[in-house]
Amino acid sequence: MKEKILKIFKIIVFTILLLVCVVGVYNVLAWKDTSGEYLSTMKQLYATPNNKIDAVFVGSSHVYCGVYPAKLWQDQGISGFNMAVSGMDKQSAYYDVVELLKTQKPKVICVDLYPSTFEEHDDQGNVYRNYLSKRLSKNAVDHVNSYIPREERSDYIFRFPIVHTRYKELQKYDFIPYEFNRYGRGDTYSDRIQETYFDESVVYNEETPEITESNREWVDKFAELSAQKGFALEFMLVPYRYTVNERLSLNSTIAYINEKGIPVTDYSRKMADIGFDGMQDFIDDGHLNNTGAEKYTEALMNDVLSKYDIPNHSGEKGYELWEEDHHWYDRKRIQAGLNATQDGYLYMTKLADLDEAVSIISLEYNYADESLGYFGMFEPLGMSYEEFSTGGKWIYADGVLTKISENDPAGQPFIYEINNRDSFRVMYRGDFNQENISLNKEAVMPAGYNVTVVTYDLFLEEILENRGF
Amino acid sequence: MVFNSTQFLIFFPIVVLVYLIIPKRVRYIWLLAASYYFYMCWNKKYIVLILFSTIVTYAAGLLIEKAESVKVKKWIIAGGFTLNLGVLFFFKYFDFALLNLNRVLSILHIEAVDDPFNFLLPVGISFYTFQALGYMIDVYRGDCKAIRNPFKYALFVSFFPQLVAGPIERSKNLISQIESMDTKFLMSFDRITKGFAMMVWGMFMKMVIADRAAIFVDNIFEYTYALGTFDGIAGALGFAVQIYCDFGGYSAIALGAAAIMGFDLMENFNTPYFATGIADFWRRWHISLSTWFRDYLYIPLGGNRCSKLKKYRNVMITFLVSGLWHGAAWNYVVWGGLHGFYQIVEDLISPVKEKAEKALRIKTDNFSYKFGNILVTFAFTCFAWIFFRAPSFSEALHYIKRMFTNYNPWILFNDDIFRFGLDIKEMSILIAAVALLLIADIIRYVKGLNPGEFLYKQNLWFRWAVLIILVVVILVYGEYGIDFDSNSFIYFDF
Repeated sequence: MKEKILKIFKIIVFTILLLVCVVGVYNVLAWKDTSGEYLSTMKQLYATPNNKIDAVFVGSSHVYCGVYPAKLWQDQGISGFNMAVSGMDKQSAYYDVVELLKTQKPKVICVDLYPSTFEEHDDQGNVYRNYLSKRLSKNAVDHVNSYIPREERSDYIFRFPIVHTRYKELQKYDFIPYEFNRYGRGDTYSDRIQETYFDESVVYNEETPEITESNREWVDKFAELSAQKGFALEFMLVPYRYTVNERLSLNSTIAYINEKGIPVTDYSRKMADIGFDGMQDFIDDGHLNNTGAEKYTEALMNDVLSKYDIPNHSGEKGYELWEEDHHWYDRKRIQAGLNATQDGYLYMTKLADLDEAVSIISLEYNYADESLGYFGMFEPLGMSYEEFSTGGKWIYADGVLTKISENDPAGQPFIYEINNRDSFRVMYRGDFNQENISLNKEAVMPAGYNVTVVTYDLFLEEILENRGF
Repeated sequence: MVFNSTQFLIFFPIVVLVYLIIPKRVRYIWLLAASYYFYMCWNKKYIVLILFSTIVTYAAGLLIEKAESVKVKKWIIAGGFTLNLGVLFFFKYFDFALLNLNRVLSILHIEAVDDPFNFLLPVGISFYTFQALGYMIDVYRGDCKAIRNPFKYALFVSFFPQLVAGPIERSKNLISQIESMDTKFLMSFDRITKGFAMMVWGMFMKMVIADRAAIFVDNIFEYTYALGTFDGIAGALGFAVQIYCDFGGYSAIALGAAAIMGFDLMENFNTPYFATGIADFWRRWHISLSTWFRDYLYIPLGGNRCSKLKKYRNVMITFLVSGLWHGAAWNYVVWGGLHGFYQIVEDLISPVKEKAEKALRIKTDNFSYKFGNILVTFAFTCFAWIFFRAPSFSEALHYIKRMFTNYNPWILFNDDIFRFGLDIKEMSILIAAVALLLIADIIRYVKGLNPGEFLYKQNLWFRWAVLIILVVVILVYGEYGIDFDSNSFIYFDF
């Protein structure tokens, strides 16, 4: 009997060990958005303490780029969460909300209407983004069953059959957590601009065909969920340049939503009211940039969120993630600010005001040519002319400027350990050699400039700006 | 349902768990139901063929035992053979026969005959048919008694671990185990441990090696028109590895799955590429089939207890039939014939070889002599595999012609070899996996232990570490899942 118990015990221990190893390997191989910098709004949701989110925004990349929860927090202390996934389809929108409702009791959920404009994904990457990010549960299985063809379902449920080939592309954040996923609230930030034109005959096309069965069902399911779980349901449309067919589909869905008495706001028809500028506020045809998103988020606060009694949690315990996310947002704004600053003096002034950053400054080749006026730039950093005239490499950290090396090809490289993972290597291997400043193994010095500045952000743990003058 | 599928991963544990908890007396019913379900997952209709073969041979077994005169017994055997081989011919060889008939008719300028049927080849039909036929002969010879219980006999014919690709079990071995299921508890911790290890090893052979090598081999055979000496050699070597790991892997999983449920199936492979001659190769490759042909065809033909000429005739017949058993195409027949030819030449030159070795004072009791024989045998085997793998006999000839006429050693140095579907990373994985296979085969060759037995003899930490690493390696480096066009096990087609 004792022998038998021991054998059963062995089988159990072996099974547990095997499972632990398999799960460990799975976590490394698990699908991650390598083209989206390892971001996962689902991971950000799982990192959120229970019952903290008050306002939720659901949709595709249009929502991801268009709604800034950090701005909601900054302006009104609203604990918002942007649960967008690239190319989100109808089924994913619904089951993602069901997943969120397992741990959160939001007061309002705003669902974007873009998913109603298509039935099937034309990008396999978006299928993976939407169907491989949830923790395994009945809801995850229901989600898979709602869209994935029968013969592929087990692959999506067990996931190894899909993700195991990722061994070919493993990178740093497959092995260590991507920090932004711990505190991010679904925020992004982009200062890219593309002039975008809208065809009014498409935007204001009033033709309203019969709603499709799948869209009707989708709206009904959300309405049911709203009644069952007690959250206010809002539909919205983040502005983007849609096709005529998409517009017709939107018209029929909006008409049905109106019929059901659910609030819906089509912001693509309110662009003038919000002050959108097609020349300034878009990254591309489909997505708002930082200025566009700030306008859109403000419009949401004024038109939609103001209808509900959403408390201001600013400074409250338990909302630290929103504070961190806001800090991230600030850093991104600083980054965009530096990026947009062309004047050297102004650039150095901003650098002097910047905390949580380390800058390496290189003075090479013609830096001392008075006609180019480089010296004046360095006044905000407190550099004297005598210091400037010696050239070489400098470090600016914690408000202190220190010389680290001369432009001597025989000189030893200077190593600055920024944190456990990242180190600067500074040396001189000839003028304009990009390897004069490296972050880890990557040469980061802009080539062809007499004066260069490489700034590392200690909070973002990445290069904030590298600039040549 | 194939062994390397999610379905089987769910199916097998359920079968084992239920098998473990139900009363002994109904276990064979459960295994029979599971076996039929296993087969029907592939094609529901074709279960009728197994039922037909089962009913015919079951009845034949009983009638043979009952019959008093040898003549009647022979008639029953003949009837059983005709019915079973008739079905086999109809489904497997009809198209081939018609194709050849039409070739002859076209030479005679007579209109070709249309194919009235378009049947799918029933998976495993050659395996279960031969197993059932073997049973009839064993009953006729008095080597085993006819089974009374029809369900137990049906289980013998359809036992799912070996149903679709063998081993072709002998009635003496498997029937006695099925008969004792009512009384003995066949499962044991030792068997479960060894069986699990064998299953994992088989999956490793199939999913990590065979299916990876298949990508390389398929690409090489697709570009036969552009082939040269070294990619030709690489293709033949690759296929030698692929088919061994594919079929050997299947057999290991079958043995392992059966062992977990307490059944001992016969070993089907014993380090075949360490054979020192062609006759030796056939003692190590697909053992259940080669011994079947030996016992039920070669020996009845007269075996080697006759004149040299008749012996060679018997060898040739046996190998040609064996080739045809593998597939209804001339390249299989040529492959079989080539092996028969090798064996005859081996036998013919054996005395000359011995004399030459003596005259040249070549030592024959050392490693280098044995290793040399192994290399030569392996080279001839690989050459024959070209006929087996090529889509047709003419393409095999073209492949060989290109190998001998387009000398291109530079492909080994300019990365061209990585253009056949496996980049340097994938090729490195394949080479590392084959190195592990070589280690396992050396252990088998030297110690006589299969991976399951070898691991069972090791300390717990080593055993567990090897098994866990193998499982992880299969999960990560195995060829499966979306975007992978899983080759079924090659031998399913036979």
